[in-house]
Amino acid sequence: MEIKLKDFIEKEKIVAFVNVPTSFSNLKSNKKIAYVLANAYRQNIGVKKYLEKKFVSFSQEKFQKACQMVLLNPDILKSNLLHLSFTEVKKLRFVEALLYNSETILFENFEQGFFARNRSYYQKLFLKLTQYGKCICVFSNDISFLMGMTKQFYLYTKQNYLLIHDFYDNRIYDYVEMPPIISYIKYLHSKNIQVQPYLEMKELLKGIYRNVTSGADL
Amino acid sequence: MGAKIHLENIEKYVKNQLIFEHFSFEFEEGKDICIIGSESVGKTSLFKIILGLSSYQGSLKKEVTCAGLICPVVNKKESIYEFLDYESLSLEDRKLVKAFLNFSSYDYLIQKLSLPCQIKVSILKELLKHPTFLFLDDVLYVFSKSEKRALFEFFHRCNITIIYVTSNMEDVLFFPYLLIMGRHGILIEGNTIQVLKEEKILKRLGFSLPFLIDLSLQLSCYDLLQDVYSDERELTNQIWK
Repeated sequence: MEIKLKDFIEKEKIVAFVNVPTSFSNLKSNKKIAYVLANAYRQNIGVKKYLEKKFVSFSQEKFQKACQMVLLNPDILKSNLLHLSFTEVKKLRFVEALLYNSETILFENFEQGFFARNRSYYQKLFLKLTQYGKCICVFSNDISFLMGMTKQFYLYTKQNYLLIHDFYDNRIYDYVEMPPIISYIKYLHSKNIQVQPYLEMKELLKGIYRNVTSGADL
Repeated sequence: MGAKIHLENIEKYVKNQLIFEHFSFEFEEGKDICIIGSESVGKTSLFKIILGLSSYQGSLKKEVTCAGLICPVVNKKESIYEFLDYESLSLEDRKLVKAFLNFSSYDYLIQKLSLPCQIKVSILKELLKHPTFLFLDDVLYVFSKSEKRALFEFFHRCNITIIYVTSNMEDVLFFPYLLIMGRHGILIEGNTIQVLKEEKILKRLGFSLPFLIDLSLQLSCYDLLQDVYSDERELTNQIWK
């Protein structure tokens, strides 16, 4: 079922979606909405030439600022689109979205391929972009990634979009992988070890320490 | 004696940047390895060199069949049947197809399949080369932990050694040996748990730890644990003994 994004778009917000089967690969970015996807570029053309064709008033200065924001080396202008790595493709598409200055930016599985430090950076960047008035639509099945940015998301289930507020809601995990912290806390609960449903490691550590030092049994 | 892939003094430039300098390593049959590394340190380039998809300077010795998946075939307009050239497959290979895919029909167009199925079809094409080593470049991200476990078990039943790049730190626990790549070559390598105990180095490099390993190390700072555990039952039994 094709998603009607305009029904969900909210300015200055992160709107997250999980388990959505739609692919956006055939859609073109514009001033209203830009698509930051992972699929490789198909044109055998230099990055600089590609951007100059796409953006009538392509500015090297704006490009460099956008690259800095998304952690992309601006030397990428010298590369060919076909030779970009997986993460370079995504970052370049992100740069394009910033050059469009679109009201809404849609990210599809953006976090995949990045390690902890960069994932954390992009979570903060998405939040920052909402402060500039943008709507950031994040399509991801990585609940750990979403936990760092939003308190709720839409779960696509039985042809409907269900708004989920609780990361411990079992309905989510009929479709996607449970984050390790939630999996472990649910395991502790199954052993009658009472710890709160934490979402952060440091809180879990305190909870375990309190539980152990208060003499709770397995 | 197990088969080997021996790389010696590999030098490689990508986009005028030196990716490998005096890079040497040996992959051994039967020794699965997980490889992690920041972006653009050469993980994919390494696979491309081994698979014969990229030029290099230095020495590469391999007398074995290698196969690998760097980028899954996605949105292809062929049917599975055509993509695998099913008609030309031997009876044994057709059994392999059935065991791995277990679809009711192979007439489905690849582009109509779900992403996990598309990736499985791409992997299957490599399995049909009967490789000794299978190189997978972060292509299993769509699969759950149990699905990945099932895939690795399948590869082992086919006597395939897996060399696996991932950006998901939880995946490293499937592998006994971990290799961390940095600029120009290898930063750290060794038994996975021993490498993961180098917590400060890993965090400085920007990696997180697998959750249970991280929890174990942090609980040891509270004197609640003396060792590192990757199994939740063992970990729990040790904390609340």
